[in-house]
Amino acid sequence: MTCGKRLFNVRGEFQRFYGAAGRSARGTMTEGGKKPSLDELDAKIRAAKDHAGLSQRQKLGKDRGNGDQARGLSFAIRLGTELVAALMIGVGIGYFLDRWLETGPWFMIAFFFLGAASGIMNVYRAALGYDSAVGYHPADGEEGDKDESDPNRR
Amino acid sequence: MAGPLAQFEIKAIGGEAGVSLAEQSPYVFTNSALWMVITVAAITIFMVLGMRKREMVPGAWQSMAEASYEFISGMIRDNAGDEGRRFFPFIFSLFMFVLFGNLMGLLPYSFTFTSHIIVTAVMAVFVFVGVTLVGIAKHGLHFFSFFVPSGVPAFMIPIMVPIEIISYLSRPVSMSIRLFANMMAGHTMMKVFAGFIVPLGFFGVAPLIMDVALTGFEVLVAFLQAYVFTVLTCLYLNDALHLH
Repeated sequence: MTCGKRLFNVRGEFQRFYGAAGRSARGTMTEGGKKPSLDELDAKIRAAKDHAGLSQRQKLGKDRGNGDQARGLSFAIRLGTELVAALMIGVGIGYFLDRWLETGPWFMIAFFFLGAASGIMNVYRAALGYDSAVGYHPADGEEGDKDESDPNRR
Repeated sequence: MAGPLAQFEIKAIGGEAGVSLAEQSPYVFTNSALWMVITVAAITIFMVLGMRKREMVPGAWQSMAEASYEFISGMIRDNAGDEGRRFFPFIFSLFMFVLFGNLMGLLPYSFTFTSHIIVTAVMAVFVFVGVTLVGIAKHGLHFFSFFVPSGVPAFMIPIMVPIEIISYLSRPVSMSIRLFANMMAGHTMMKVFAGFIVPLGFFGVAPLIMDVALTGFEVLVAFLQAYVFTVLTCLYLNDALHLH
């Protein structure tokens, strides 16, 4: 099934931390220095994990082509939600301003267009891989890390 | 046979018999509330009993508890920076609640409270208001410079500011719709296919296979949506803390 691919990042990350969990617990617990062999074990695990992390990253790069369909579908759903959500908020604001000020349909019409504009802007930003809404800035963090942390990419 | 949407019906538990939900007192204990309680209890058992032994080399259960801790702590570090660490308890609770709610909703005869928009919307609004308050507390009135995009000509600003504000307000909406729609769509689809299995006789094998595949898919979706919900919280927190 193609949907498995989409989750690959998440599972990979989970597994990475699954490995890391043992290490940190051990790190705090060996302070008494009861079993020096654990330190060796620790170093070994760390080396193996670094290696695994590297190969996983390479695999992720290779994976990119295959899971395109599933990723594309989920991305399309995301874009649709962004567009509609902003429009809903815009029309909602307009509707309640009209009810409050008794100004006929005018606020609703104005805010319909503002909502549509902000919906399109959200989609534009999401499509460019910018951070979710507000401000014309790319997401923080280095480029390599972004693919793992950014939901826009799924 | 129950329709595909019957699984989302809210029912009172222990209320007066024969009285519809709307006519009961507004503080009825429902199946939705029951499954939230069960979820919280399951998380508590999972974390507390899992960590009780505190073994130096963790067993499977302890590893899982530690892995979830490390997973969220890494997520916060990557997406919200070190300042975001203060919010670990909240974000961890949110993630576990959504994840366990999604996963336990897959059990037969259970109820998926995350498939109701009122539940996801409350969580999203809570995040939204909290993040906004954090931003205002940290930056004071400077926080509102957030709504003035950089590099925009002065005459465009009166138009851009309302657009940015609407865009900001649409965050909880899209966040809650995404979680609830995914859960509801998946469960409805499973039920629709399941409804075909028996009436089709021998050919019911086809929807049965489909349902098996969908069950696996739903587990992935349950995890992914909990992850997305939490990552978005971290990203919004990052926005509020650092204002770009």
